Amino acid sequence: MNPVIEVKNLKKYFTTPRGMLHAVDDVTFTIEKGRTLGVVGESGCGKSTLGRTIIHLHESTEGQILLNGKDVTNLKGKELRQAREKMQIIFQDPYSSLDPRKTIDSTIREPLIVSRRFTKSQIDQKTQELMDLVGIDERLRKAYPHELDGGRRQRVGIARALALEPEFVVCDEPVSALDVSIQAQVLNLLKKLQKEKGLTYMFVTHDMSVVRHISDDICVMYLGQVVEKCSSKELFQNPLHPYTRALLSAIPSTDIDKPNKREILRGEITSPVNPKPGCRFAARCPYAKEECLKQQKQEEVSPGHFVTCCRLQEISSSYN
Amino acid sequence: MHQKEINTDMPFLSIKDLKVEYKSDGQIVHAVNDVSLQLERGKTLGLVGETGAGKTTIAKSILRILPDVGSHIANGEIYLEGENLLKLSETDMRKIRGNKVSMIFQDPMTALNPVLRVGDQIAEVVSLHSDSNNRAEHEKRAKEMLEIVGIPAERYYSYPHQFSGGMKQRVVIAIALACNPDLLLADEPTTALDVTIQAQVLDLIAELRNKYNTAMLLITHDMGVVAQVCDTVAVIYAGSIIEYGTKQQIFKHPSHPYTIGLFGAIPDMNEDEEWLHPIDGLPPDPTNLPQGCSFAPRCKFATDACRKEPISMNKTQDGHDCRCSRIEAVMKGED
Amino acid sequence: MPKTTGHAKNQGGFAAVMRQMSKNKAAMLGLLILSTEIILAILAPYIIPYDYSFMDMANMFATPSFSHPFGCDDMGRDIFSRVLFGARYSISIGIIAVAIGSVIGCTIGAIAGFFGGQVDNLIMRFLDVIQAIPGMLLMIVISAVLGPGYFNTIVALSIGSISGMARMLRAQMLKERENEYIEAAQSINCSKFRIITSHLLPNCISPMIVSATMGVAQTITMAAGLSFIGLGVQPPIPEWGAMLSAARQFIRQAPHLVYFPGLAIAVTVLALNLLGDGLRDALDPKLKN
Repeated sequence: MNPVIEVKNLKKYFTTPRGMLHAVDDVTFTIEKGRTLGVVGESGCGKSTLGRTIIHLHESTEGQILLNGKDVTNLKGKELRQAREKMQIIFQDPYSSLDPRKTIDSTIREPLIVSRRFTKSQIDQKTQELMDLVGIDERLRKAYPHELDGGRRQRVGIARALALEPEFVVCDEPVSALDVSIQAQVLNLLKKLQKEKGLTYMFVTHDMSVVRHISDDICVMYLGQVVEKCSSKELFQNPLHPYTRALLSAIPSTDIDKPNKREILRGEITSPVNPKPGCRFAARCPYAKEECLKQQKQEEVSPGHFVTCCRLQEISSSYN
Repeated sequence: MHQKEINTDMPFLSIKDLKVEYKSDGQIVHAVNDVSLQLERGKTLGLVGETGAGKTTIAKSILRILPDVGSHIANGEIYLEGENLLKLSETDMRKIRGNKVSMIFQDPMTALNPVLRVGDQIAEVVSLHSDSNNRAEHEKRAKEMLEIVGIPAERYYSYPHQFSGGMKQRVVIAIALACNPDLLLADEPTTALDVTIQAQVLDLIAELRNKYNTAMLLITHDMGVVAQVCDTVAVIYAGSIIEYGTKQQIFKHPSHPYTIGLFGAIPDMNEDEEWLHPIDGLPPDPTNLPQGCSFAPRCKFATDACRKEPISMNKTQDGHDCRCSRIEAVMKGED
Repeated sequence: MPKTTGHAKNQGGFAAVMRQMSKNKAAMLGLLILSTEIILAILAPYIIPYDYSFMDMANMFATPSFSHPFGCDDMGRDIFSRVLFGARYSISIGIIAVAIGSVIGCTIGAIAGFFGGQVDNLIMRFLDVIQAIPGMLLMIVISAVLGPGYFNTIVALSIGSISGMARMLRAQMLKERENEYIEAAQSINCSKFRIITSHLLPNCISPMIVSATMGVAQTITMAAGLSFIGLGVQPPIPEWGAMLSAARQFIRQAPHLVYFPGLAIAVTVLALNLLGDGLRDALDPKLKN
């Protein structure tokens, strides 16, 4: 057991004119070295905020973040900068995540310059290595982002994130803006880099087929809370939370012989602003009863399989 | 409503050799190259392809809403019920838009006017295409449409910002369907939506299509959506249809190396595989298309002959067309 | 820090903008007029046929002729020489005032836009107060307090242009700050200073250049206005506005006294606006592809 990242009861609230927005509410997990935790959920479920809070792009409201066993939650100044070098992020949008007025070369070398640990010639050498590593052609060194396609831009983003040799990388929907043929190239690259460098990933996405492919473990989030957490295999074989089941059944399958048996959700999505205690999925859940409006607890239903649903015992018998 | 003389020999919608060009920075962008396709009432044709393949341009050509500056339909005919839309006057075309043919755009967030009530936006479309001037009647029809897309009629008086993304897209669909169009052009109608909402919207579209016997052209890049909704599929690459067939044909026996590659690149939901199989390289620059097969530079089966001359459509008896001269080799390579 | 890449980048950027601009004939015309004027203004002391303050009473109100191409004014001074020499004052006032105003305005706007919150609030409310006073009135007040003269005119005009510039940059920065590359810069430990100077400003600068160019035109007319009402540059300095002011009493008898400085202002402002429009198109990244 060698956890790189431990997150304990992490909360991130935003103040909005209408009240407190509970973007991340009491999330706990650990990621072992060299493994990938997939975080899935629909837009607005707080999955991106979670990733950004862990790497300190947002300040956490409550809870603890441990990097290699060391509490990094409230670091400031130099210590924060050092911790950040170990935790990097790859962004969703390959168009807005690169500075349009910087060449590929200067984008990749910037983290090296800022860290002040390297000499000019070391930086030159490392930049070259990074470009080779992610497969960007030497002739694109002086190109600007707008001259590149989405896949190449995303490679530049990956090179920038890996420049300081981080241990933990948050991949925030890194392939959702790319076409499938390009998406496969980038996913393969991320996997190759993980193997070569022993990287630990937190892979945020809404695409279930992508998360299944890349993750070892998966967290399913709904409106800021983790509703189900288990190994990737277990989740797809034995989904337990009603939301997970609805989510999986909603994916349009490319298998035309097996028509989807979809559980169409009704009802409106609950607002994450000043939410009431209780299950936030209850408003759309076909199994919801009164007891769902009370505070929910996460339970380990089988080793390593956590579900937050008070009616699980009763309703799981109706699954087949 | 439109009981004009109907040419029964022709399919409901028929596009022949459509060619669309854009001018950009003095260069000519070959957006759509010799696209031909047919669609019958009550059927759904899926247009599948990557970003920039020309899918949206085809749909916009049918409605003749391509940007005025720099783009023009260089060649081709588009017949709707035997009538060539490209020959119609702008006045006649206006009667067709939104009435006989309507379009659902990709982004529901920008398709609605933020300062108007959603109900009024539907009623406006109804009034534009109705002979009567009775406001109350239009409002009633708008409320009906809201109910049809699963939004309570009392939300008529809400503004777009009070709706979630899924609801907005349903309003957009309500607007598109308000005049019972015979042909619905759906341009990535669910791409901006979450999967659970997407499932709702796809169901709704399919339901309405069956109810009103609407023909639908569904543009998407999501093979899963195609598998669920479409009857026939056209795979587009660099502005040309490279494979065309029924859903069964395309999904069970993909023949073009690009289609095969496309399926291979999607992570499989049922099998574990260490590595995905991406298609190497990039789509060609549409200002400078290869002389021969546009996919040849990325194709492992390509020969010198493929690179030299444009490939013609290889048609089969059962209607499964494939623009590839090396189908036998491809089939063997796959086995 | 290695500066080599930065240098190459700037060159590339400038060359690209010029290439884009060269397609726009109106902008190139504007650039041509303006550069001609600036060169003439610099060379003015060597090329003007007469001293701008040389009074030739024999030629009072002389109409344009071969020896005096623009004619002579009420004191027999050669208008051609005066207009040419006046370009030095008019154009330099415009450029210097806008430059000062831009630097101060951009600094304030950058601080407000990047830090946001209370700092932003404080700065913006202060700018609100300044902007509540009509521009010309504000400049008249400042000139009246400081007294007339070349430098005081520049000071008055630059103060007047600060709040517009600050507001504009702030709005740009608020928009630009939303991009993920700013978060990316944070995540690789860029300091706030580096994020502002190295990422935000270069991406906000295009519209600022455009508005500064247009601002020079506006400032030249403002300066002329101040001189016209006697608060700007004082006679005998041949600032164009001052020339107009002095000539206005003779407008019926000798309209050519007004024509030429007026024409000079009009042509310069037109050239600057053409150039500004061209820059707007050339600097817009959306039009680049």
